[in-house]
Amino acid sequence: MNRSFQKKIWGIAFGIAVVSLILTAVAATVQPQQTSSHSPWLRIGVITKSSGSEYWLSVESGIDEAARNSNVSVTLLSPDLETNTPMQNRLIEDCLQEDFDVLLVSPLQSTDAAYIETARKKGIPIVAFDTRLCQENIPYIGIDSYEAGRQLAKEMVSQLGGSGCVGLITGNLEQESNQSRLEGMVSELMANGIEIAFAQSGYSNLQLSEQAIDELMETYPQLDGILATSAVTALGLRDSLKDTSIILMTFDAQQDALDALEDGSLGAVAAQSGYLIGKEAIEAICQIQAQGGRISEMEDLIIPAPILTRDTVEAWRADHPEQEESDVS
Amino acid sequence: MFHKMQTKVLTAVSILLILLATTITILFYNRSATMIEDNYIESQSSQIVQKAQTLDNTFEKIYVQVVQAAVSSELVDLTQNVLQEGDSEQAASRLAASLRELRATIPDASSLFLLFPAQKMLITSKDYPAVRSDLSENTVETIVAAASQPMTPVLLTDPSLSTSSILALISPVQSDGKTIGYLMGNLDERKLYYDYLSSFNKDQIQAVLVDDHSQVVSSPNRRTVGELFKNGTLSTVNGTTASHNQDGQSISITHRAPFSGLRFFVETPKKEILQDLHELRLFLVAILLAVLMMAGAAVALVLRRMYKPMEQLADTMRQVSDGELEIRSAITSQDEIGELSAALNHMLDQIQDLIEQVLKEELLKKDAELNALQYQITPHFMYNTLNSIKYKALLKGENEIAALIDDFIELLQASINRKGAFVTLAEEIHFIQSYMALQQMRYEDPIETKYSIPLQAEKCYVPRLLLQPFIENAILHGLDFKNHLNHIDVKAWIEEDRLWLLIHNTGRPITEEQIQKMMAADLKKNHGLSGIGIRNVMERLELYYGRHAGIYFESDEISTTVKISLPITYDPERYALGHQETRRKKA
Repeated sequence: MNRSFQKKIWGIAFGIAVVSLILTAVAATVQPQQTSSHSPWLRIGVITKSSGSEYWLSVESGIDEAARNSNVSVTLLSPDLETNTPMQNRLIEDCLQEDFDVLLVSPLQSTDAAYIETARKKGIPIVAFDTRLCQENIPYIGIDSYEAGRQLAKEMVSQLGGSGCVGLITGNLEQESNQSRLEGMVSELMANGIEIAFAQSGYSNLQLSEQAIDELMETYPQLDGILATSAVTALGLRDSLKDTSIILMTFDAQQDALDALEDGSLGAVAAQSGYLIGKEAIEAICQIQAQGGRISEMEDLIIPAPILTRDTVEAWRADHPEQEESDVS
Repeated sequence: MFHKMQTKVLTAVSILLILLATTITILFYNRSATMIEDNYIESQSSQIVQKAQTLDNTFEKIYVQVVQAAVSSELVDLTQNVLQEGDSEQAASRLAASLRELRATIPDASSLFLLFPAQKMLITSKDYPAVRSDLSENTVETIVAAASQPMTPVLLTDPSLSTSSILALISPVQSDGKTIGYLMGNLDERKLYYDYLSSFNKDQIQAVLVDDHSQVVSSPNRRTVGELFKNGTLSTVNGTTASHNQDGQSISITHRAPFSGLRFFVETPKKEILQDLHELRLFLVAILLAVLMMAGAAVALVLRRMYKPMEQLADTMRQVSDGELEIRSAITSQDEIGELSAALNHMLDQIQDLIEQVLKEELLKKDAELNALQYQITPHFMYNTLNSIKYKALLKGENEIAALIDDFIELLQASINRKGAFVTLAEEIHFIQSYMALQQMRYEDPIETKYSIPLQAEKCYVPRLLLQPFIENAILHGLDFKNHLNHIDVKAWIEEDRLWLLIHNTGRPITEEQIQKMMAADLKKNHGLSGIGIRNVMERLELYYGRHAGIYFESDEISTTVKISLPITYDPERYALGHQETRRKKA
């Protein structure tokens, strides 16, 4: 307890006091004056063909998921019907008046799209998805429609045992996807000597009226199979064909189509996943932008569309739970 | 002293406690404030984003439906009809009715207008006015200019009433590529305010809606609608931004709705956010004081308990310093204080032993000095006298007497000589031989003495007068002349590093009791030659050699044997006392 010991004690006490005061002062003065910000780094305008079908809801789910993960802002607009081309064109033109970084378009009309020139002038890149825009330098993200049509027809040939009579019901042939699917199906059917009873177009996600179906059945009583480019159209035919031996096949991996495949109402489905197309499209654009690449120079991104049958649908569903979730949502 | 020390430590600890507790309280308060602010920002941002999303959805629905209607052939036809029929009220009424029907399908829109720019005419979905044909040039130009951004709601003074503000989404109605009119989907500013902003405007929170040009499009105060917003940096904000204002008094959250491009700006004073925490201040101070008081009491108690053994130790030291060396400190703990007390006790024990030893040595020294004085009185006188007697005897031819006197003189010299405490064994034997010659004179019966001393042993140094007391004891108490038991053998031999000496005499046995008596005999009460008894020999051996020397007695019916064991030395100073002290000091 000598003087130096006392001095040490006082020294330590003083040191701790000073440190404490400094800490207090620092804590008291360091106010969070900085600004915190969460801003999307990319603004994408998406124009789909419609928003009313299960397929397009699935596309929206994929887009939302990718946008959320990539912190980009997406404005998604749709015409009321897949037939309302003027409205889609107006939506696209309006988007070109805004400050979007890129437009993702699923065109109702693949040719003579006037807005492409406007976009070029404004320097806003356009990417086609689900359906091609038949112009140069417009990248495409979606399935290989011709090949998918050919593969579906091949499955039809297989299920018919190599011979029979098939009818084709397609969507608007102004859309490249419908045109290519039709060409693919015709090519495969003809190569295998299958008779094509009829090829009706204009049914994009639209159901045939009962009268139209009855007329078809009466006109083509020898019909063995029908290939439809839209699941909505095919599912509309299902009830009318349930008492017949006509094999029905279509596109789009949507839940009701897959359910119909499982219960045998449909013979096969070309599994075009709307969820996957929407998701991959946003991710691909983000990737190119993040790497400093030019959107107009990006390569086409082909999404696989495997042919599902009653035997393979269960396994495919197990491998694609996101498809189920997106459709439920 | 310890009370002062306790007070100082208590003061130091108390200051530390106050500082630490205050620091922790302030840190806790500040941290809590930051957390509350962060939580507020998170929660408020979330609400704003949600509102903005709802607002965007509303505008998006209005926009899409306005576009849908604008491109519909029905509306195009009706618009054309109005133009073709000039001022036909019928055509205008049909269009107004159609707009009302359309309005019913767009519940989010407050109203729908169709502007004929060339005619400066407006047909509305309202009951009144259904038609206005007196629009100003300026109003028409504003609406036409706003149509260049069809997806952005534009703030306008309601062209149908000119009294309120609307946010309009405008889409051109075209026929053959030519714009013939503008369809406007409108949202009343007041409706927008009450649906999307009023929930934020409470207490002192200010919430406004601003467009890309920093123009206020909705505000609690409708007179500020249309004015430029004071915060100029707002137009650069994209996404959600939260910031603490420069004066540190408020927090601003800004969010840009991605579709409409309108920005929500909500500014909240911090005192509003931290109101609950401010109310906790008094509670925190009370807790701080209570904690300090409890901590102070606990520290005082601990210090008191801690210093109690220290005080006891200090008391002990004080008593010791006053001379009470018998006092010892109580050891009440196993800590440093306990160790200190134990060490003090041990030290006191050692000091006491040393004092006793010093006292004893001092007594011995005084005794020796006294004896030395006594011895110094007579030697010269005695030598001179004895020498005179010896020469007188020689002159008279008494050679035997002269020889005896000579032996006696040698004995005296040997016993009185103070030069060195150690002599060689040869010198010691010579001394014994002189002593035996004199003893032989005293007794009529002869004493048969044999010496067996090897040459190597003769050179060893032994304490002076080591053997004489044993020889004297043997003559006085051992030899039995009546029974002719009168032999004395003196032997020496070396075993390893030890010198063994043996005095063997025949005669009366010696009992254990007698041995104990000899050992306990008074040092000074000896009537022999040197005044040195067996006890004296034993003490000297212990003093010189410690435990390395020994004396062993053996006795039977007719003889007694004494064995002495010593360490061998050929150096007279090897075991001398002064030499031992020097060596110890060096060590």
